[in-house]
Amino acid sequence: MNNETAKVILSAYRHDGADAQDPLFTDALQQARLDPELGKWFEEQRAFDHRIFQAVQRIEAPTSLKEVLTAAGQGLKARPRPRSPVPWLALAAVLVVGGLLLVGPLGVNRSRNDSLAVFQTDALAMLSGQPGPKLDLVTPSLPATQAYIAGKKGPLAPALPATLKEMNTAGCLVTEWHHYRISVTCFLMPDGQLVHLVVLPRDALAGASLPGSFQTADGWRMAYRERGGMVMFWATRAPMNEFRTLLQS
Amino acid sequence: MIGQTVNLEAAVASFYQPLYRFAYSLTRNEAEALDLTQQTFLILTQHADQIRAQEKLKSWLFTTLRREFLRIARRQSSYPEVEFHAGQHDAPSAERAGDTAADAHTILEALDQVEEVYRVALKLFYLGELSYREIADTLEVPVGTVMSRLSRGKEQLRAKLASLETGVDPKIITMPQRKRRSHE
Repeated sequence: MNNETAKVILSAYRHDGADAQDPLFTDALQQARLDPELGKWFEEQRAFDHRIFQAVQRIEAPTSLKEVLTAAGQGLKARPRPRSPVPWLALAAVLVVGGLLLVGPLGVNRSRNDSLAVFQTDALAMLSGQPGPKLDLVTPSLPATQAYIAGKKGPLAPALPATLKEMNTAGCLVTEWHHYRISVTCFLMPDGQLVHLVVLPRDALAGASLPGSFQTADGWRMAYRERGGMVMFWATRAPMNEFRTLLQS
Repeated sequence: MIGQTVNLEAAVASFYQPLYRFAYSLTRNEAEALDLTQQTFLILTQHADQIRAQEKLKSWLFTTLRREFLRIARRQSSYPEVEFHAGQHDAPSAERAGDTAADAHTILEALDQVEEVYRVALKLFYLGELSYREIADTLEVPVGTVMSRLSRGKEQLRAKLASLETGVDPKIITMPQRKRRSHE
């Protein structure tokens, strides 16, 4: 075999040695050991592959994906094989619910006692959806988002900081959380970062006391405000000083 | 066990990450990649009986995911939807975590610039972590074709990466290819 043929074969060899026992590579590997030029090429090729593998490993699925899929599997195992409907409907239901929790609208029934923690977790999960929450309306116009939210009978923010009133928006959506209608408006900062405003009726968080100070968790900066029977939940990944300045304007 | 040879839990544990990475490389959209990955496992539960041997499961999953991607791509080209784009919103996690992640982004960009005929084999190799035999099964092409595609694809990828990193346009001389369909 000439070196060109050996190179073609060795291009399919995985950098971590997973193919070391595959007889198809035996001759080409032997040739790479004996021929310095081919050996050097092979080392460079493996280093290149290693670099690519290492880099793409950083693209990670949210851990919740595994939980949802695994829960789906457990759900199937726990149930006796149904006659009808077919078993995959059960999985479909779990996946759909799981999918909604991962990227979609909010909401499952949970205890009222931890309503604030549940709300915050659900809200951040929704806002963390990539490339962002699925907006019903994509528009730079704040009045257009307000008109849309009002038209969908969603809750409007009773008050907005002055700087935000001048900002463009990315858009808005209206959805439900625990049977309460909530609205989400995404403001676009000049540097492209987003500030999300979730508005919901105070009753939705009945019994929960709202944090008075700014919060941080998982890279999010957050704040709660209450006015006119509404709770405004602000969240952004922008630096805290910018966030604080915005809300205090 | 959902079929004679398939344990869904084990399949999820083993393959959800590479499947998601492959899906993300195809869609470049986190929500769509999640949907594709979930849809693939859903189809697995419907058709687990088609998998005759455990060692074929990985290829089957990647084949299924790619077919789903192509099906959705065809449907969307017929019925285009207005989507919320990354440019207007938070960047995907791969682009947000600093230099190393930016490197992943550059690599995906470079992969997308590789000629289509080589691209999907490279994505299966690097993102799906498939062996050449599994790639051959997934793409339903001979093993020799996979090797040739990986070899030429890597040459192109190397040149495209160098180009993206240095800003110099690479001059690649490739063998003439027959015209292919437009989706991966």
